[in-house]
Amino acid sequence: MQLTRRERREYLQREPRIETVMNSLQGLGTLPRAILYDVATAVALARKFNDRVVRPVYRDLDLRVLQDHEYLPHDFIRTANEWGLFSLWIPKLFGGGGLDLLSLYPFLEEIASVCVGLANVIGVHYLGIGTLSASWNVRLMDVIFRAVSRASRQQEACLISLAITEPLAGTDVEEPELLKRARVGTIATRVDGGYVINGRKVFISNGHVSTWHMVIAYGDRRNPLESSVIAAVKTGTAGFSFGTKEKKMGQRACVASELIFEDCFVPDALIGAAPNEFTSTVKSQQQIGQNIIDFVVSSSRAGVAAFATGAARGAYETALEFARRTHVRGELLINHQWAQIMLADMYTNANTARALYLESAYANALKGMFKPLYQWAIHAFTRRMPAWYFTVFCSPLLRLPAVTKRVKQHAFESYRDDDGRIASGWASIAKFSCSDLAMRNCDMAIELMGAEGLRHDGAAEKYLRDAKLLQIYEGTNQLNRLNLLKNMVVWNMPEARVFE
Amino acid sequence: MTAYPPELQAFQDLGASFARRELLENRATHDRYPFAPFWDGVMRRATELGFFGITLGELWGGSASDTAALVPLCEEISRVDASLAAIIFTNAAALEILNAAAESMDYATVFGKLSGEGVLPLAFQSYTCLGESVLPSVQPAGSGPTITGTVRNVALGGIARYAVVAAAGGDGSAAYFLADLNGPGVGVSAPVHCIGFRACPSADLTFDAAVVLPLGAPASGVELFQRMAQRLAPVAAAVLLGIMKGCFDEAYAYVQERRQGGRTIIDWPAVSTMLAEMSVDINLAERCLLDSLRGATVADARVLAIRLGEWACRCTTDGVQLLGGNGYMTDYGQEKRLRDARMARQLLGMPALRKQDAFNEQWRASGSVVPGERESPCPSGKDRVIL
Repeated sequence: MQLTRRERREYLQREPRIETVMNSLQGLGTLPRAILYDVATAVALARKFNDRVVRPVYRDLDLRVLQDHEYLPHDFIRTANEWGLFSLWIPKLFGGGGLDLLSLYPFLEEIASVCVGLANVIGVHYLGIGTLSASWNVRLMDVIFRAVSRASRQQEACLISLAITEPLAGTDVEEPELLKRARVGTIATRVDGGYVINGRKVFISNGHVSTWHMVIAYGDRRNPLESSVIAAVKTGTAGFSFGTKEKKMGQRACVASELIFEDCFVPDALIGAAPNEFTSTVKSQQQIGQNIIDFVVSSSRAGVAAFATGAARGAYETALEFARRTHVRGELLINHQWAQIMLADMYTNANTARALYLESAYANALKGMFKPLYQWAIHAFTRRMPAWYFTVFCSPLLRLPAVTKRVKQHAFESYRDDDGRIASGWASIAKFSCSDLAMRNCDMAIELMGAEGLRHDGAAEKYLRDAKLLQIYEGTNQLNRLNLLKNMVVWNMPEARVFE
Repeated sequence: MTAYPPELQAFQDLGASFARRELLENRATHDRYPFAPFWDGVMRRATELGFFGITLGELWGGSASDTAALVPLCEEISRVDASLAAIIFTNAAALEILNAAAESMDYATVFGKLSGEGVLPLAFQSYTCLGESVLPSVQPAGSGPTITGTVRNVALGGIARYAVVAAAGGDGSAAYFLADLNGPGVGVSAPVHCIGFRACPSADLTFDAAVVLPLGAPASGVELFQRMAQRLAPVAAAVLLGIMKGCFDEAYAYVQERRQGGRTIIDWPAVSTMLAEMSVDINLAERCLLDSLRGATVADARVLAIRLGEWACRCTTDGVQLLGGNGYMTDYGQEKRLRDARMARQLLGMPALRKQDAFNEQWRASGSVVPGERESPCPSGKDRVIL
């Protein structure tokens, strides 16, 4: 071979580097094989859940909310809770089902292939879980996650929402560079024993139906990035109330709520993260703030990409079924070559989207927030030990403040900026590409189905209404394009300026 | 505003003032039909102003104008709420079938029915072209022909008294008929929930040996449809252009107010570039529409309507995006425009079929063999693929 070891090393330093763009291949060698089994289990479970629960109700539910704006999908949530879907992906360490985290994405794709709104009801709960996890406050995680798991064995679900978007700050709060200049309005003021929160949050998915709310507030409105506070606020807390329910074009099954905080006191015990809670010689407060945002959006954007893949697939499958049974100009639509080309494109789009979100999921497992869970020893330990072991022996340890402090310090200080850059970049690629592909497929499905595609009972139009939101939330697709550029393209080009 | 020829400017002014006065304030409520009352008041005032009789003969109470008069009217109305423009379009499409048929036969009986109070607008399959769906069948009978079968997606099907529907004879050839929707043997479904144009509701009609009035000669359906489509294509284009303009107006106003990242969002180049894209499409569409009205071939408007369908969908998708989360909410007009654009794209039928028809027409006009009409048998010899 005409390649020396030195040349090999040198050539592999060129962009694109394997460790940057081939996450799945890297995962082959390092990630546990049990992932595939859990993915298959999650997909099978989702298909059964779709057949038994989602398909019978999703269209009526969509119309029901249009008819009665106050309606909330409590029945669906209760059923999903009975199926254990709100705790299945919580690690066994915290009393959950312990299904592999990567399997959550294909699960969400499956549900979204029928109804993106109902997929969001489940998915956004894990966004709340992800946000608390990103704080690495294992004591609070143990308290709240165990409450969620207990609820899954009872009648009423215990859901978690993430409250970050504000009336005057939407895209801003998703990106550290913009957050520095954002006009934030939810302020956390330090008082004895905790924080007092004042302000409003809007467009909070699952707000009205959640028990816990991970509220992102800011200690200093002029310096939000370095003063971010993650507070766990329980429904019913004094000073916290619900405002309006947004009237959305799609994803109607998942309520988007306004949350109002008026002198809402949150004790220290419910603060997930706060400025200067530990002293670090390795990372600045700004870097830690950036890490938290990166942890959250890198996992959540891959989730949005999975929703989008579901929408792209659902639109394709709907159009395919239509083409198989509909005659146009005397011939089955599926035998018109122009329709065949469209269907081939739609199939391609759905599969391209899946490949992208899986790359992002692998990036999260190898370089993102999930990384510690995939270290061989930890993975094997948490998988093989019985649930009671964690409850009896680990939970009391996790409740010790010193343990949380040590875990936080280790998690943030050992986290490599390069890893964060790659995980964040891939999450953005997946998010905007998959949602754009979803919109393309939905439009093609409607076009292919003609007047039938415009009807609610034809299903295609709902995919389009649902999919549009995927281009907006978790950072608009424009923001995600710039985030990709910042993290993957110009990251080593000092002359380049992004977000300016 | 689009610089229409002087003879059309009165319709433009009328559309703009009506939209501002009657449609803007309650747009979101009107859009909730059937979960909110039908906009009878708006329909009454539109009727009083003669919106539904513009192309109807003077003898029958109309103003006998050309369909070109509908272009500025529908553009301005669509800028605010395209549902009313869809009603005007639907009625005009049905009347156009009648007008075309009347050229070869005496239709005093038919038009006499239409001059009664509250008879207009007519219902019509505005989103379907012939050949796109299975037609009901026609049987001859003593009291006139009867039709049996289902006609889906009839715009205004649950609102109008009469519908113009196509049905197939024994040899499969299509012809048009006027059906009394209150007549025996006619069933009207509940309103069909559609993505947009909710205040122009559709319904499915079922006919069980229902007596109908024939329009035009037997087997003249395709010819009548093509003629109607040619004349109504500029109106379809105008509806799409109006939606695009309304979308641009709202986005432009919003981006000058909303701040992100420490500045108004119009000052972000990514945002101003999106607006520029919308503006380019709108300017080009406006110019093409005016050209088609100024004597370019009518076929140009058919092609324009197809392309504008794509532009309007892109424009309204971006229009929602520019407003971010707010654009997705019914409190703003953008999400409705996104939905209405998908409906308007389907006016006159499936875009893919319309593209092929327009292309084939060009080939025929040039004297060439139409590629779409060549058939290539599959190896199995049983099924075939249409090229």
